[in-house]
Amino acid sequence: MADLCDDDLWRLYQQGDTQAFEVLFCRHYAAVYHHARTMLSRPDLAEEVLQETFLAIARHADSYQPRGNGRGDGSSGASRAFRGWILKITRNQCLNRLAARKAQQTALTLTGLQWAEPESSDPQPSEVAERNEDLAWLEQAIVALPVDQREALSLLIHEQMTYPQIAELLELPLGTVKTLIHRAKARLADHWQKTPQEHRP
Amino acid sequence: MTCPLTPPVTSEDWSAWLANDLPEPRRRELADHLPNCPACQSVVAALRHVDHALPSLRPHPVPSDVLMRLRQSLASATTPQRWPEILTLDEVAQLLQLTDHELGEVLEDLPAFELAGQIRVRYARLLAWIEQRERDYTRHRAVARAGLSHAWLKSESA
Repeated sequence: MADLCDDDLWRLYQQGDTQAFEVLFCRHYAAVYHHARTMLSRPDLAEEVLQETFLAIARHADSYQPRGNGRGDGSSGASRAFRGWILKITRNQCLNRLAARKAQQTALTLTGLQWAEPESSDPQPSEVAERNEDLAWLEQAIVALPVDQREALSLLIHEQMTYPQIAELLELPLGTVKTLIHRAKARLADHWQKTPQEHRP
Repeated sequence: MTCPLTPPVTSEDWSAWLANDLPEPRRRELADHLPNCPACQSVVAALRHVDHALPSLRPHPVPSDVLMRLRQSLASATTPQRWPEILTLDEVAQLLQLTDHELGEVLEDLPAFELAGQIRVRYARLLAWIEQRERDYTRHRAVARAGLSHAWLKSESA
């Protein structure tokens, strides 16, 4: 079953095969978590989004229609369309949370109080060091990027999406996607230039 | 050290140049400028370093306890229930996991219609209704949280 493409697995799941769902879950959970973590910069919220995304797709088996004639697209493994669909659900879950966070910030601002980000914000320094010591500077600089730049860059790097694929997922014009990515890289390069020599890997 | 051009070439321009995303006249203009500008050479070197480093970044790993919790909650949800397009009230109660009494409390809000004297609900409209309630609840919770934080901070400062 592991060599079936996503669309074929989804078709099996629609017919009640829960093992097919398990294979799909194993194939995509890491990408969903990473995307949520990239957008929200909070491990606790990323966990919530991971859970709600998979619960949403499990409960709405009819909301994705596999392509083709029932034999998938002839390829095995992950399909771009299916991954795009899951990431779109993930993204919507993240946007809901970001909107809720903004509403809280606005409510506090109206009362003259200052917003304090919960303590669990990314990056956890020990975790960064553990994962990628030489790249800690880069991870920290990415977290400081605006969320739209961070998201576009992550899709380019981790999902290896093309500009048109990113534009489709984010529902943005192609030129805007290019601008987001180049703006993000420019800020990262700026951060690198400002990093004192002794703190560079 | 700054680029002497007016306006100066930005890091964003150089990123687009490196990715071959600039139209031809501009691309050539920047290529001609680069050998004569130490400031821009430094920016391009930094951008090349970033381009080189980015693919080495590993995705955030999913903690094993998170994965375990998720598998447990998915186990009960992964048997797709095949619902008809038009639901009876009994089916609505089953889908929403409500008792008859609880169903009676939300009956007025349901996107229902009458057919041959019987109340029916279209499955797709019920899903949209659930999603709307989820959105309302999230918004309500956010406002409530903000209110609580405010009250707590007020009591702290008092």
